[in-house]
Amino acid sequence: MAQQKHVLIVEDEKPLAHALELKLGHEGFKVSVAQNGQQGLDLINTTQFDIVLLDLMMPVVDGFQVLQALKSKGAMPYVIVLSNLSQREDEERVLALGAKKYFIKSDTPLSVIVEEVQKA
Amino acid sequence: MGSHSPFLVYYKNISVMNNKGEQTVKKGSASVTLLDDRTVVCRLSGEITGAIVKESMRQTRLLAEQIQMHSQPRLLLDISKITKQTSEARNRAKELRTVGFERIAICGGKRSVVMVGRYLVRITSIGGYTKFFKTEKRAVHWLERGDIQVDDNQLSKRAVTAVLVLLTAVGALIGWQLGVSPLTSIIPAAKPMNPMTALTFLPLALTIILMRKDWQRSAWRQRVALFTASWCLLFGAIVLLNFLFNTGVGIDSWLFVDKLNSGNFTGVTSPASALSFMCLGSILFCLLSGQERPWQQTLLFILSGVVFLQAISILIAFCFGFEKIYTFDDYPPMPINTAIACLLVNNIFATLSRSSGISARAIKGFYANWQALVVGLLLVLITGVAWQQSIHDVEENINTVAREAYTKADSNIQGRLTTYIDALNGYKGLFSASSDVAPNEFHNYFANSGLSTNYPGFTIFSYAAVVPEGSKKTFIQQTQARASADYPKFAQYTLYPANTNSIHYPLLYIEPNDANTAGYGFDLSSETIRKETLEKARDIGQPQASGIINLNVSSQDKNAPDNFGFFIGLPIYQATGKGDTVPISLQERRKLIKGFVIAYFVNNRLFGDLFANVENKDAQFAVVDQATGKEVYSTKADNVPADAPIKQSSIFEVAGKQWRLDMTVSNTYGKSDLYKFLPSGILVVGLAVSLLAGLLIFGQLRRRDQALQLAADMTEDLSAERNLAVANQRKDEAVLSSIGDAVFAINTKGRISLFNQACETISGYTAKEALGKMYGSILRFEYEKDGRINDSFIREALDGHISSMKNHTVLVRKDGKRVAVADSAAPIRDARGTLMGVIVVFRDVSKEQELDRAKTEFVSLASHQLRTPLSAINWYGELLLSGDSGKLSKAQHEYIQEIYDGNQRMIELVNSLLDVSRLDLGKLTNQPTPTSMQELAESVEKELRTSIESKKLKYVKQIASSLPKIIADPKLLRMIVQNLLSNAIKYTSNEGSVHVTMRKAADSELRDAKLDIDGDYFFMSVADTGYGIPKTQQSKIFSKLFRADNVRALDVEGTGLGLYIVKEVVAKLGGRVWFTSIESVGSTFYVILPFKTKTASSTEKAVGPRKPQIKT
Repeated sequence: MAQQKHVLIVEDEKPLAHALELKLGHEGFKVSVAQNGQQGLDLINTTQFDIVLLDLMMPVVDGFQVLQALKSKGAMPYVIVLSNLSQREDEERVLALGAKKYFIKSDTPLSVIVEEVQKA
Repeated sequence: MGSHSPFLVYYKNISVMNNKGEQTVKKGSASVTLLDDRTVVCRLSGEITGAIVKESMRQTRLLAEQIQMHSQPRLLLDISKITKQTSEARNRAKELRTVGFERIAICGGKRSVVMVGRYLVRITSIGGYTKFFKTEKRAVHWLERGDIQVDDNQLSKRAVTAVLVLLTAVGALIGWQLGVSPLTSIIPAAKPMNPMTALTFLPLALTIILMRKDWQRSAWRQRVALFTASWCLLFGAIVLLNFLFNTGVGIDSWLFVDKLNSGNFTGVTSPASALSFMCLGSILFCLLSGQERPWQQTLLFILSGVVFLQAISILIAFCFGFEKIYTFDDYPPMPINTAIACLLVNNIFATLSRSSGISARAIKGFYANWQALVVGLLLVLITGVAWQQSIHDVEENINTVAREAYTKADSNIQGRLTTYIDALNGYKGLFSASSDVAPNEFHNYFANSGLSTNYPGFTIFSYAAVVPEGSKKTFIQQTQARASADYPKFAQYTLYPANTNSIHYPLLYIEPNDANTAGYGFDLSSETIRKETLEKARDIGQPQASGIINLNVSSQDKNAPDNFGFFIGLPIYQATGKGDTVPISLQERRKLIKGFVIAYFVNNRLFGDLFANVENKDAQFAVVDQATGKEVYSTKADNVPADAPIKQSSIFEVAGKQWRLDMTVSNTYGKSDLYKFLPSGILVVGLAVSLLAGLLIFGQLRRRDQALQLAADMTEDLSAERNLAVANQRKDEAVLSSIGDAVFAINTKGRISLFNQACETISGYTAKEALGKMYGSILRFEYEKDGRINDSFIREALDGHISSMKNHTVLVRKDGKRVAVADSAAPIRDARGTLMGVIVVFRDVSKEQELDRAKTEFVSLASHQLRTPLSAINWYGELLLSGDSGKLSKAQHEYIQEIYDGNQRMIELVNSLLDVSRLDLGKLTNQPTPTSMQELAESVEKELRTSIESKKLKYVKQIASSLPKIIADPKLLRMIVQNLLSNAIKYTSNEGSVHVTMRKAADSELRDAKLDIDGDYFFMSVADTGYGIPKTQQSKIFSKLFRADNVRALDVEGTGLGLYIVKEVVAKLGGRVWFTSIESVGSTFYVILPFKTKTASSTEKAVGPRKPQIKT
């Protein structure tokens, strides 16, 4: 890996955020974690991230709003949405807002996420 | 717009071949049009047959039904141009079945003037929704605006009548008081109206004026009428008693003095007038009683008839010149004025009785055809007048002719006699010129005068000398001395017959002398008439004619007609030398009288010649001696009866004698052939024309009547139908109102024709506001998201398809609020399949939506919240198992693996539950995308690869090449494939096999699955060599949460939801799923799906998407 990819995890559930952080860190990515959408947006504004792993249901600013904000700003990073919302409408909406992938957290092994992050 | 043209014309031309082989064309037509968007116009004209009625009313019905989709139809039925209709047409009209009209106007057109009366009758017999109008304009006006104020014809008629009667009566009274006879009788010299009669008409006129609407309810009006009725009866009774028993009450002469015939008042009221008054009084009593029972109606009819007949007979008699009616002493008729007034009053009473409910057929029939009667009667009266006039004219003509003939005869006589007198005067000159005239001188003068040749009828000219008794002998001697060869008779000349007169007038000369020699010497004084005539002539000095005498004194036949005649004697006086031939004084005349020149006339010859050129078989002239009154001569006229009246007569005087010339004529005298037949011709033709005209109008009335009857039949049925239709409509409305869902219907034009109560509640509009309006202006259906109009479902229904409203539709209420609605629309078709409109059912789904939303949110929330801990377990398990946090012992690894696997099952269970929940909620919609089943199968296989490998299963897939993509939601397809494959793997023991087949479905498979053989279907089977399904449990295998006993016993993990999901999804996509299974051998599941799956179905619930509001 010539250059270390910088991954931002936007996730309010600390255990899940931590698991992702551990795994991705283990896999050799530079990982930052935001506790909610607002923090995520603040970080994105200041730091260049290669990949954003974004949860949807979050306090303060949720994932949809993050995507909306990013979309309106015009600088859309590579966003993979990780959510436990399984309705098709949510997926469609997220993809329409510019997210690249959508995964249901419970159905998705960490290995798949690592694969996706590596691919990105 | 539906399939109907708005303008329909129906013509019926029927060729009819009669038995002679001639062809006639019967023509009748009917046109059915729309006047405006709610009025149907049906026009019938010509000869109307049953077929025309049927067809026209069918078209009317069609149009009416169209109108009914949005409003209550109205009908304008034009029957004015019907010339004839068959009985079949009338029967057809009765059979009619049609929709209810709000109003029906029948218009009879402007043509006929004789229909007014008819209408009045009809209007009273047909009420409600149907009305008759004379003009189309009025009919349309009524249809558009409702009842219009119609002038009370009866009222104005009554007022006019009352004024006429009043004028007649007042005129008569004034006439009597001021002695103006024309005021008492419109016909001069006819019998005048009696003043008491006139007085009686005053209260009658007043009563008529007071007889306005509801007159029976006003007490004082009733009292006036009561007084009038009583007075009429009383007065009539008095007069009749007076007439019958001669008990002169003398009321007339007591009250009135006849100024016309002063001091001699004889005019009593005629018993005919009295009878009429009694009848009128009785009618008034009947009307006052108000209860018109059948016997009263009959009585009214009889009384009315008596008055009518009496009055009309007077008019007829007068017009026909039966003047003798006025000379009846036994039963004096009523005067003309009274008759007219009686007719007027009677007519009003009759109409009053009709309008107050008398339905006696006779009166009705009479008044239904009164125009015919009136016209007929008027013509009869005119005929009478013309007949009289023609008789008068002929008489006038006869008189003229007679006068001419008479004048001619008269002047003939007078002229001739004057000529003779002139001739006599000539002789006078002869005798004056010489003292003694010789016989030959006399003869020569006579011969030269030409009297005998020019004037036939003239008999003898003679000269009688005046011989006193004393010189008688001398005279005889002198005369005898004159005897010569020419006058040999003088030789025996003597006077005869002998008499004792002092003066004798013997004939001396007689010319022509050849035939009358016997007369020489006849002494004229011997006979009284002759003597007196001559002496009178002597005294007056003028020619004097004698009375009728027997000229031939010597004749044997004393009565021979030719003997009778007369003479004119002219006195000759001796010359006085004074130059005057006639002495002035009587004494001188008597003294100087010398003789008489006498001209004799035989009546028959003279008058026969005179009347020769006026002789006529039809006219007799007679000359009468005025002195004796005896007829002297009469012309021969065979045709003149002896007792014929004298037509012309005059007295003329010739030579001091008066004669009368009478002229009598025969019946045929002076009448040409035309005149002979003119009066009777006029009478016959006039009466025939009257009868014909009466019949013609009667026929016309009958025809109108029949047309009206036709219309009435049609419309009466229509109104019955209407009531039925209204009743049905009410029933339908009641049913529709009680439906909780909103229901409204529109016609093909989009106008609302039905709007139930739920509709009112949901929309906020009332049915009244909505009916008849375009649905778009009342009910605005919008897309929830963007507010665009969403009424495609209605338009689809108008195109004939059943359709449901798209999801996310809201209805904008009247108050502007938006209500979520679910809706379906279906076309309405009539029995023939013609689209008539659309019925739309919708309901307020806002509450359902709330509920659904709550459920969905709960499921979403539950699954989301469950997944979070599952994810944590999943990921940390994975982290441990992958050894990222250090190598685990074998036991640790094993335990963690169990945790991990258990967690996986938990996730799977949650997912399945979620799927089932969504299926049950109808949330899993098919969003078709072309999907490759091969790729999908491979993706699933990849997921399940671990299990396959761990169980060392033989996995065989047999996928047909070039298999088309299925147009279906990949997620749904995936559910099918994933569940079936995972089941097969799960329930197959180690080293078993799983066989997957994908291809197009064969026809036999489609037939077995009861699917459309022509369709394009996908076939998939998944066969395993697993545990199979026990026979007893195969029927339950697709049930929710069902797991077969054998697999449960084997402790194979499973949720019992997979096959349920498969079944539901396959059904949703319009496919079939079934299986074959033998326990312990294996199962095969078969799925058939259409390549093009259904998008959405009407069973889907209209629940809008909503982001779950989940708070963490």
